[in-house]
Amino acid sequence: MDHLLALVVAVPLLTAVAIFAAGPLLGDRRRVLDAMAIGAAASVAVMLAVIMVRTAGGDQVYWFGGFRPARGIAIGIDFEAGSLSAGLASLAAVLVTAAMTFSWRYFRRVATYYHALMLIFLAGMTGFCLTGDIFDLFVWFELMGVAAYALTAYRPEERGSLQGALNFAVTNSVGAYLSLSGIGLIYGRTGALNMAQIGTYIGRHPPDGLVTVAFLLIVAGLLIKGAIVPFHFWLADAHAVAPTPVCVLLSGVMVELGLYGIARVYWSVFGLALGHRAAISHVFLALGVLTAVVGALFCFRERHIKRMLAFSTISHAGMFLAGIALFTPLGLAGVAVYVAGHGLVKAALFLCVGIVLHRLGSVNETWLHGRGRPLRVTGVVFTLAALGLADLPPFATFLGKGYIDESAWAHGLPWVMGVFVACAILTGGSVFRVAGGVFYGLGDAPSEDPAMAAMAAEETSETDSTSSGPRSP
Amino acid sequence: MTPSLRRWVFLAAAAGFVAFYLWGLLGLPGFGKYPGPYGFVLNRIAVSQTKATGVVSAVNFDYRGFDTLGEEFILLTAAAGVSIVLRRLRGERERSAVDEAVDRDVPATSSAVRMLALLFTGPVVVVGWWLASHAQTSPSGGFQGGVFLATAFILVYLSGEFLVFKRFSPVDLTDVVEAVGAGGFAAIGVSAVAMGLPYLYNFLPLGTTPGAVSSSGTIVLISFFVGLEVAAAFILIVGELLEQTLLIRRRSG
Amino acid sequence: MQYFPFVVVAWILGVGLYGIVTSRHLVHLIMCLIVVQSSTYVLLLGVGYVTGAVAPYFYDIGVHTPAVDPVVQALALTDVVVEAAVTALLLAFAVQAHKRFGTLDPQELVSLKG
Repeated sequence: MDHLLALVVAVPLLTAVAIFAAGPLLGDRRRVLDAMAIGAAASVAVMLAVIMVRTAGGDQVYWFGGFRPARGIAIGIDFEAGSLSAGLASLAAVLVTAAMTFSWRYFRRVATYYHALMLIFLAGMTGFCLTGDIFDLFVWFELMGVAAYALTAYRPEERGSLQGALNFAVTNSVGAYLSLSGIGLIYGRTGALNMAQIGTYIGRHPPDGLVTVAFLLIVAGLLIKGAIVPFHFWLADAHAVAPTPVCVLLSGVMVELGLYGIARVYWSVFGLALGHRAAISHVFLALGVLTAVVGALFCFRERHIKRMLAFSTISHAGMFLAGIALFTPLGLAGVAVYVAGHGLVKAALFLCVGIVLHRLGSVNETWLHGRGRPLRVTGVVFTLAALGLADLPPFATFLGKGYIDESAWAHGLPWVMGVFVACAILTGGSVFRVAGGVFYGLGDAPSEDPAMAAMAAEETSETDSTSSGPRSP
Repeated sequence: MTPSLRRWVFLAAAAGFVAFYLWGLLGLPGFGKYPGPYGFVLNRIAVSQTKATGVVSAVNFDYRGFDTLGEEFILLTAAAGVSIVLRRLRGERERSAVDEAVDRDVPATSSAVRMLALLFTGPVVVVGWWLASHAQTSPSGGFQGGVFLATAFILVYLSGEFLVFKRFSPVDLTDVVEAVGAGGFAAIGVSAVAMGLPYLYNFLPLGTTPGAVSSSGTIVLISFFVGLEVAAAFILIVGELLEQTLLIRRRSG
Repeated sequence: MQYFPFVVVAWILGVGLYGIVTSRHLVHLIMCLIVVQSSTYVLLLGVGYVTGAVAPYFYDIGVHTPAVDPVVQALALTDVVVEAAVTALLLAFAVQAHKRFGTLDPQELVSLKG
């Protein structure tokens, strides 16, 4: 039995606890703990990569407590790792490692809780990806959520911090409880919590009201997590106030996990039972396209760089959902590659924004115009990442989108390609505008956003640097 | 859209949602007609398999122990979040910890409340401890016991002595206890892995008499750790909230 | 009535959601969130009930006595405790919001964010 599957969750949890316990004792020698945390996250990434390689020979299953199923009835909880889930979890681990490494210098004084919370966040994301039990899915969903709320509210000195964190917390909690209601419903019908077992059971009968409602409730919670229209409002607010390394994770992988959850729940549990595949496919496709367009439009008119990147995430989330909705292996593979590419590109963008915020003290595009010139390396990285965001070659985003387009074409839906291209132009274009304006002083400064001007007076640097650059006018 | 019109729209939406939910709920087998099989299978095999007579605890700490581990960490994270958010803000200075807030009219604690609170503290601790250690026999367990134990500390506050409360539960100690509680649970699981068994395998001797205090292997141990963690988490949370309201005042002027 | 508990479940969820959406006070909003989760408890416990069965504690009764479903009880039990802590986290947000903005009205807070 491959114990790695258990260790990928146990290691970050134990390390987090060690940090909590040792933090007050070590006092000023916090760097030891920071290094330990980064090491733990990196080791999880390695373990997940190994698991992913091993899944090439078939899904890896691990029963906790040694409780194997008896006569088709599962009595314990299991982890079922497939290439997609292991890959997504690896992405999460890589991004957490990157975010924590970035924080080494970003926060001048990283308090004990920050790294522990990041590790718990990682454990939640990993558990969410790998689990084969539907209530366990809910538990990791909640853990992911609570860790994210705490991390978003990490610096309560900021005025905006609490409003964004509160919005995030309430919206995602409601989503979690809706999903739990759906889980309760399906448990009442099947008396089982193991996803494969439920799927087999309800697949035998035609769908009725209960199965439909249960599916919709569970999916509603996941759609909220995935920031799909009309549940997308919390993401931009959360991004505006969360520390930049946390934004890396929110945009790069947490939203994508919500969409993965939808795919998982559909494939493993409800797909067979619900039937009406074409209809369901079209509904999700429509939702995805709508989200992509709305996200792209809002992205274009934003002047707050972090909110702009948040809206581009929403737009991409819509594209991921549309790709999933095609229900083909090629489309799904395309989404996987696209997600991986997008996660890394988004991480790079946010980390660059973090540098800008740290050195220049603002994320207001209008005010920053031309002031980014001294930050040469950042400018280059940011511009390259913008290319990746616009789905241009040689980035993985281009490859992933190519697969999705091919699948859409085969489905007889070539217009999907057109929508994607338009959204990529809008989002990529906005980020290019930022790159050109901020780092190279090209063109005119974009028009002032009145809301941003009002907020500019209160915008403070989210790091400890008190001697950072000039404040916004 | 006027506020009252918006209210009507929300009302209609809520009503529609309730109707939708009801449509699904009516597909259930009916109250009292649980179809199984999960619950029935566990009821049949739990006692002989784990030597615990409290099947709910066996489910919580053995069969679905991994879930409980996750939930416990949610608790830990929430408590840590409360600490983060309520920590002293820049620009606020911690007053000397006098019990009464200057601009708040705090009535003196009545002697009756004081006496009752102090009287109950001891029994509550004992009952809490008993609950946390008897998970395998009766309707109890780490979660219930932990909440009771936390209540004992809150009774100390109610008896009017916030400073005593703070002295009994310095933040660092509760942090460490909480961490030990959560970590202990995770570590028990890892110990099983170290022995080559699946994570959270019940590897301790199960005892012969079902429901005896020493039986059911790791269930008792896990329940104890969970009790520690829950107690520490709630003491931490209540302490932080109280500290925020009573002690921290804005720098005047 | 066989479905009465489930009608209650739907009602509680609806009332809670309506309360969240139209709330004018953060503490009220958080309490409505608790109400929403309460509906899930009633659902879980209601689903696991078996008429005429006893509690699943076999200390002094035979192992084959019909008992109710222990799984939902275990789930609900941990959920209650955990929800209390998450509520504390949200209330902490509310306390800070009041300290910073001087208001607890969610609608006003939305307009303040800029």
